[in-house]
Amino acid sequence: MAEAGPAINPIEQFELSRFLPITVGQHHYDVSITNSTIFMILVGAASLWLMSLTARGTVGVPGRLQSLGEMAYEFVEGMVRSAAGEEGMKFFPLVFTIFMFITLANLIGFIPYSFTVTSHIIITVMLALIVFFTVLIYGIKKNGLHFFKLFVPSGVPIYILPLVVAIEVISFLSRPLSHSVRLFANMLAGHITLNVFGGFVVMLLSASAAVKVVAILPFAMTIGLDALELLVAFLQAYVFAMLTCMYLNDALHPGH
Amino acid sequence: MASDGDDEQALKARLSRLAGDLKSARPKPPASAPLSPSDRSAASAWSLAMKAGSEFVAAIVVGGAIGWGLDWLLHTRPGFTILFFLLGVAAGTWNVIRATSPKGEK
Repeated sequence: MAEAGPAINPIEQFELSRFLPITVGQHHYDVSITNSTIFMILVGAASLWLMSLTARGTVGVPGRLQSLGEMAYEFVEGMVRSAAGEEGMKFFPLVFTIFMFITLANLIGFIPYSFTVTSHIIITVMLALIVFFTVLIYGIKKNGLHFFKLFVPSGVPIYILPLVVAIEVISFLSRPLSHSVRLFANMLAGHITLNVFGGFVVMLLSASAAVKVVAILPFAMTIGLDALELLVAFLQAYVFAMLTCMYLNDALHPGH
Repeated sequence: MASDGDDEQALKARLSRLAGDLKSARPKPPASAPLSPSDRSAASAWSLAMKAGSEFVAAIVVGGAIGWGLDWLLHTRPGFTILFFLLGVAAGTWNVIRATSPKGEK
């Protein structure tokens, strides 16, 4: 696109690169350590570090990091309790892990030159499928066939029941899709937008002196977008965890 | 999975014991009531909008995909695609209604 200025490719930031190429089996199945893997390990390490600081520090007046960990715990605890009830606390570890993983992955993605793990749909799909199959398997195990009352709302006349059941089944099956695409699309779009506006700054600065002044406009926009993306990063983790709780609630209490 | 029931029992007992400890230590019980529409902040209103929007689209896509798959299996194109696309739209609308109506009443 830009012939004279530096070429800016907003998609480049999402490219995977093999850090340590590994293949297994006869078909050379690729299980290489990529930049995504490295950042997932970083995310895991960061949450372990934060929570171990919180768990270890039994001081009366908590430090900043300890209270951050405590806030995260209490936030998720309140969410699970209100959305899935007291029984839902059984799934607190799952919800908390998902919440911490997404929050930290989104926030680490903010650091320049880093990689946003959640901007790849395969990651968010796997997270959503974990939730989907947890709901399905636990729901059937706990409630047996009663679980399928989820698809049969009470008080529906028999002649439109097939229609309602079909709608409910489609609605249930669409959950992993909306669950994963929402997180993925928000992170992808946000990072592309930031990159495009950041690219405008670079392009304008490399132009003639008179045009350089205009660079302040996309620069201001980038700052504003950064604040917005920070909100989105947190909000998406919240929405994902919240919906996980609501879906788990269906597994715990189907049929109402 | 023989010890699964035992584990669950032990976990339940431990949780209830800890809950009792917590209840005595806590000044007041945690707010367990769901968020009422009035104290929804702008952020959660936004999250609701995103939830409703994506669930609407997702239901249509899944409905269409199921219909397309059935047509492919049964060689009845485009019958099931049309039928399930429409069912998907209905499911999407139903998702939006469910997401936006207050909790408790459906």
